[in-house]
Amino acid sequence: MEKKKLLVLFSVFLIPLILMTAGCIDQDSAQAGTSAENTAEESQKVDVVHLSGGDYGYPQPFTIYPRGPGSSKVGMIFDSLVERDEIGIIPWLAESWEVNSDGTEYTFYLREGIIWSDGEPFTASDVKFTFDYEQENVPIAGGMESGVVDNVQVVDSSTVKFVLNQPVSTFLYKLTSFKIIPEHIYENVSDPTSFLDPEAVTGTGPFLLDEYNKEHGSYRFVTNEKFWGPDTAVEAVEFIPVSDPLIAFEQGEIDFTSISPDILDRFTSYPDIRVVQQPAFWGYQFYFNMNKCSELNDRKIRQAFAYAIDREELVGKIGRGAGKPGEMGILPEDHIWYNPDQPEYDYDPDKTGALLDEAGWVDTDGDGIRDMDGKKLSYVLSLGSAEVRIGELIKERLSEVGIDVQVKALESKSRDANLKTGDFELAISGFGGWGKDADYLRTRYCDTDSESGSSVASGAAVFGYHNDTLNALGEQELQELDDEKRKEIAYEMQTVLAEDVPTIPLYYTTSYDAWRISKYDGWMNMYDHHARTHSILSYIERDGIAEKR
Amino acid sequence: MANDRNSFVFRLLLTLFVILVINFFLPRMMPGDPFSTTSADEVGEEIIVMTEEQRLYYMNYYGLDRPLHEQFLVYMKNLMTGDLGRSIYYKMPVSDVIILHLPWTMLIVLGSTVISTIFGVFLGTLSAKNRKKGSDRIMMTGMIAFAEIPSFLLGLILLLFFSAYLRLFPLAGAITSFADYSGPAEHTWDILYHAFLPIVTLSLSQLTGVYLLTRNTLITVTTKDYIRTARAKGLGEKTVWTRHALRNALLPVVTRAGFMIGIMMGGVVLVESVFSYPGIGMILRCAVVGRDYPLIQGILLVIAVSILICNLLVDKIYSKLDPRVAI
Repeated sequence: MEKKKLLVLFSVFLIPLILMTAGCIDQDSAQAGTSAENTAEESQKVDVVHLSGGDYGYPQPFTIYPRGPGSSKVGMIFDSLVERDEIGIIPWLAESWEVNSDGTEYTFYLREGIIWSDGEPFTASDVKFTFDYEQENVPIAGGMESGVVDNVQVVDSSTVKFVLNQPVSTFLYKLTSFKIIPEHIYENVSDPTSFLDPEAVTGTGPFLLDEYNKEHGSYRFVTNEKFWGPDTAVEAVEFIPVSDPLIAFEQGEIDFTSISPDILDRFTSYPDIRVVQQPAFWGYQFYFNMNKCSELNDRKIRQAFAYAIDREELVGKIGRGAGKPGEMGILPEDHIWYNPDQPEYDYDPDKTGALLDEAGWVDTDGDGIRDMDGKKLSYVLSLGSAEVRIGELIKERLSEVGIDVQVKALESKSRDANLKTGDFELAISGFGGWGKDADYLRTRYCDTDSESGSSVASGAAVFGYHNDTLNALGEQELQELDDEKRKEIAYEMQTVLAEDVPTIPLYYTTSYDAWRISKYDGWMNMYDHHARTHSILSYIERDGIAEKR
Repeated sequence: MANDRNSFVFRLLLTLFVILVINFFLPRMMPGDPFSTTSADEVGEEIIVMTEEQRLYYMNYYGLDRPLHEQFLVYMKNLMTGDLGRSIYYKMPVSDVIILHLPWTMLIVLGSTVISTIFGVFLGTLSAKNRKKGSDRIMMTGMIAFAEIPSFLLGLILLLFFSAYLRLFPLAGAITSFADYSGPAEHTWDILYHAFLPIVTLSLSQLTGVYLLTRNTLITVTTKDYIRTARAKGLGEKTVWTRHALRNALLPVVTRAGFMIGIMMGGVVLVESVFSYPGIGMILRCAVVGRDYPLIQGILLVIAVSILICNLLVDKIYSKLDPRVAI
């Protein structure tokens, strides 16, 4: 009796073990062959680079997860017509292109002799197919937003023409993330969101997906021998799960990591470890809801906020020095089109006081909070639990100038829901992408084509802001095809925004990247993005088409 | 008897239905939806902000734009055919996601239940035997103090000491990535090697409960008349303890072990995230953050059902151990 019970208990314990072992064996034996081949040839090339992993989805445009670096993994396999390097846009699948005089037709001449990783030739019809297919099946990332392109025409097998609805100055920029998928595979797929077959990751790019383990969050990419471009500089890239990237880096499990400024000293003394700061393209933004709080429509009040919030202090105390204070012209200092000559708002509580007095807000009842006609300058500041300390510091500074703030920490999805519906008074949110094309000044702050009452654009919680000058500049910026002239317009837009203060960028973070030089030293930054590991150029030889600039 | 059985089955089905209703509506009452993410959670994190068209397309794709009662009926109908739906975040059937991750959680939960029960009973017996002596007092105080350490903190300490400092154990994961195993034995060894610290953490956090329960019931039992009778019969001290005292004292311990499996299924989230262990807790966290309704439903259902099954099993074992109790 006793023995039997023990046996039952033991076998219950064994079942999950057997299940797990059984599931993996056949995969492993299949992998054994390929890894042996890879090590034999090409000795000077780096064999493998290890990076911090985690499951971000099957790396095709329809199945990656919306959170985390899934799209950069898609980029290792799939190519776009044009690519981004450290300075700007470079030819990629398209060797050259022509634009008609009014900027509504782009003709791309594709590189000859490109083949998909399964041996099929890549042609102009793959490009047209990708566009048409994604009209029906919207990808998570790597698509072309609707309303830009009217249709795509195949001129001949290596020439393709995009016809636009209206001139869009950022069309080429948008194309850099438009990943071309193979027609001969996807034409038979009716539901790409559930397409997890090996063929789904057939691309023209420099790497092949050798192994993906969703359960454990590991990826192994190996060189695509059929890649049309420069050689890869690393034979394989492995993403492996780590619990703490820093310890994993110290122990040599991964070769690249981000480090916090507090422990910088531990790494700067090693000759083999290179520590470089990231460009300031990730930041926190402070929102005003002008629909809900009418007095915020007065730009003097918003300017008063900008003078009262000590952004240098936020960088020092919260960012531990690894950051840059926010610019009221929105674009960070590291942005290629940052306007250095714009109204500045240094921390100056006296100016805040003067501005508020001027607008008629004074403390009449002596409770320390400014008021007017019985209404108090008192707000609820909504933020995510990670931003509580930022909120507390701001509350402190604002209370010194007579503005009362209650910090309300929310779970991140709840906060996002409030940002979307406009159910907040003041809010803070952190996000990346501040280095993207300056066109985001238009999409976020011009209310030309949005219905009244909603926020200006999806993704930006700017409620109730309206400025005719900015709208007109935005209109111009969208149509201007000459980049030099467009840059001037973007400069002007920054000046207008800095005078108006529709939102307050609090600070942009500049984390430190650290990597082992002896392992691999080819890391580069795209001109518009903070993460070095996300650029495909970080993994290939910088010659020919991808020559370093 | 047949009537009893019917009402038992009815009660079980009713419980299940109530669980299903709560599972369905609770996640949907949380603010937000799976596609309207605009802010990142930590510095440097990448998020893909969907355009309104993209959002509407995916709401429609997953049927989330339909009225709630309609969605519920569809869910119930699919459930009848064993279809748990499709995970929005992971883009694969919910049942596949669960099958992929559940064994890992089962491994560490069952493993630590067995280990903590064995050690807890052993230590509890030791303590009860030496009751009121110094060693009992020290052990008791130590164990109670120990129980106050939260399991994730304990895990973190173990991880830092054994993995980061001594480098005896792996830092994360459940298997060695891209490993080439020479056979099932090596594979099993790798799995156990990775599971060791998580199991130890969970075991240690369960130990005190088992220990206290064993100690206390043993002390109660040993004052009973039949123990005195057994001693009077001239049985050896060893036989008295194992045959008479421990056997009776084990009843509540078994009950507890059964309940603990169920509770731990839901409670391993923190320990799994400390060790980046790919169990059900890790994906539950992801599912809640990403508002992946079908997956949240599926996992909560699995947890609820496993608690129900454990309760049933406990009842069964109980009646075997103590013939006076029968369902």
